[in-house]
Amino acid sequence: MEELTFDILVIGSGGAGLMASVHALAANPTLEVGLVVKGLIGKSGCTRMVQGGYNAVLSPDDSKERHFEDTIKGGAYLNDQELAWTLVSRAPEVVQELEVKVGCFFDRNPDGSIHQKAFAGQSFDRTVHRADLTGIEIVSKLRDYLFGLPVRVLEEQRVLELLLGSSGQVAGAVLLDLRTGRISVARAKCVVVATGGPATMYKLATPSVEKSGDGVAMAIRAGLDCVDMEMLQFHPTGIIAGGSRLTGMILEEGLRGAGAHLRNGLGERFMARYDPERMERSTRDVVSRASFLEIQAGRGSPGHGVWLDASHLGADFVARSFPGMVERMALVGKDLTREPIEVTPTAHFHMGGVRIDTHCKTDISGLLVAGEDAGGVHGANRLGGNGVADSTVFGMVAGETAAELVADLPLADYDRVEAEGVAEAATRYLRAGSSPFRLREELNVLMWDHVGLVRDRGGLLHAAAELDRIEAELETVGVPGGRAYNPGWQEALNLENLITVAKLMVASALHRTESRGSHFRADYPERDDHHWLRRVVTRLREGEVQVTTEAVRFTRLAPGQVEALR
Amino acid sequence: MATAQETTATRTLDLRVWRQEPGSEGQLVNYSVEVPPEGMVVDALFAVQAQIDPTCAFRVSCRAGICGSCAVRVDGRERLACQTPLSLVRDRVRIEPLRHLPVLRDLVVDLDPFFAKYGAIHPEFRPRPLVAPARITAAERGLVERAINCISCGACYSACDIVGLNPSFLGPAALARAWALVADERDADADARLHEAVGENGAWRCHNLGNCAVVCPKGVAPLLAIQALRRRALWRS
Repeated sequence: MEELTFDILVIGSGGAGLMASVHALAANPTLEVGLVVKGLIGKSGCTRMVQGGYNAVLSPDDSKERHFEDTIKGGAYLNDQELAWTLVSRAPEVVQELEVKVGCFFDRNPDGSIHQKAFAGQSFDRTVHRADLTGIEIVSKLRDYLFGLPVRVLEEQRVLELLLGSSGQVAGAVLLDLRTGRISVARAKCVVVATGGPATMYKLATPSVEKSGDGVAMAIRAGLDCVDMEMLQFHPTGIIAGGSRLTGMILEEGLRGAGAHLRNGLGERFMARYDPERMERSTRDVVSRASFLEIQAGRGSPGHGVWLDASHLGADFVARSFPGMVERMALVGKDLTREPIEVTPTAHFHMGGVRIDTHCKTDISGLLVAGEDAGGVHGANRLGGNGVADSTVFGMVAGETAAELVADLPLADYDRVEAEGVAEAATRYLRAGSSPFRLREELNVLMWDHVGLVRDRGGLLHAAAELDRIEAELETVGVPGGRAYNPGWQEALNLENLITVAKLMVASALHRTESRGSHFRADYPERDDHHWLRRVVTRLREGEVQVTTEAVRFTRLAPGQVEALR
Repeated sequence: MATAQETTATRTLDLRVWRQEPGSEGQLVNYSVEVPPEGMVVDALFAVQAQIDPTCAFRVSCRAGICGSCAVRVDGRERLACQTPLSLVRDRVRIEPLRHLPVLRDLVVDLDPFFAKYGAIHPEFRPRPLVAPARITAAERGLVERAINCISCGACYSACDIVGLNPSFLGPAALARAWALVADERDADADARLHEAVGENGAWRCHNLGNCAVVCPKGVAPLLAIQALRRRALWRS
């Protein structure tokens, strides 16, 4: 097998992977950095897709403490508080760097200073943005910035498995080149995993289609602990475009921030029943579940959604503030500036993931995890605008840590037989068999129906059994047609990873016998702070999912303190 | 529970899709697929993959007109597959890969030549020393507003006949990026960039055909950026 050797191998090219590459080289320009990109550089992943913006404290009237409080309160006190503090305390320097060093153009106030807008669940207007398409600005400029750096970009390649050395430290990864189908080994002293999450396992979902939780799945198979796996966020305002794959794409949160109303099929502003104080500006978990319950109770719109109405804000204001969203709706024949739009909750972001410390380190020496692949930053629910902050801040942290680590780490040797085994397992799908796309649809429907916005024991047990069946059926999948750029083959590999992650999600969801944040159990509908200020920890051992819990450590803020402060 | 994506109404569409194995000649192949009437061209391609042939290769990522991965030619015109409503196409529609770039497989082209030219104008920001984000006025912003919307999808590169005639021409997207940096007051390297952008394979090679502006899915209008580069170069000389 062909071998490449790096100091640092970064897997994933969203905000986290790009920032990790930039910062590793900023710390030490002589490092050899390899960047694995599943799609095209600057074009894959979800940071690119960020609409609304980036939460960072820039105003003297705001404070990091307030941003922290909002994040913890939004996360229903489940957050790892040290990770959340890292997020809020370093977000401002990243915004500054993106503007001053990378060349991003964020929107300005009339006086020329950076404009910040209102987002849901926040006590201050702190969301930095470029109109309603902020992610393009950040990722395009980071991609352009990379042209000036000696990063070896491995484009349209995916990682099949991480490789560990004889004493358990990271040794590299097995890569598959999508264009040629060639499999190779990338050796590295340090590996940064930042591939993005698994929300694409749901029938309606927002992320880019190539994402399949690869990083978390590989980390699980490498034996790492995951936290909060039951916490999967649904965004409340996905568009409805009938049977099109565009259904589930988001209309951004800023619309609710700016005062758009949500109404059910009867014309009622139903948020009055669920969060009379914050109404539409309540957090995503609350608004999504409220919409879902309205639809389930038969009070939905004709297309199985609810109505999002921004028309009273004034057509000019909406057109000027949300041009991307107006354009998106025009494409499906709707006028966001003048009429109510049907929206549906849609799977969006995984708060759960690999357990890391504030330096992005894991229990495997030399293996770092950043961005959506890591768990704990957002607790039970992520605030809008904290996602791109997460990926870029922790990408930066991972880059810094990686540069520091490789000074002392030797290049570990790996087991060649093991690497060959990974290659053989991946190529077994190149045979006659059933379509992976049909099986994927089954997985997506299963997760939506039974591990979605409202869960219960019966449904979760059914899901666990069905996941085993789908996994078994994967052995009947076959995709003839050669190795080069074979989408069916990639889909089979995606399915493997999604199933791996889904199993831990279901086990965690079964274990948490209460409702908190994004996790709602119809059989345990109340939040139970007495028993459940604990996080569910899951891991894979000998093919079986192990579940334990541990108490959340309130290192900065105890439950109820935010409410008492305000 | 019923979800928003469930729908019974479909429309039958006859597609002619470019199929090409690596290292061999390509051809248009006919497929008849059931598509959602509200769908986009990309839904028709997903339908081919799911209903007929899982090896049918095309690029798609964000399906929101943000990533620029899915640019193809629809009935001869460059478009983003995820942003082209099927309601606008006839019952018989032709889908082909972008021009001027080698085909890797089916609708997937090798964008390396495109990004090599993009890289040649040094697209990375080279900042003036600043300690805080610059104060930027609306007028300054207006100069680059269109050009910074580029998603580097390659549609303009495919539509540009000059790229076809003169393979060393940098092409519309690279020049639009060059203009965004030349006009950016925060960039320290404007003169050197301008020099490069109007050099031998740069802005003066453009024949003002305007195809780039017609096909751009983001309204970047690279032709305007090219003209702005020339104007600035003339004033500087």
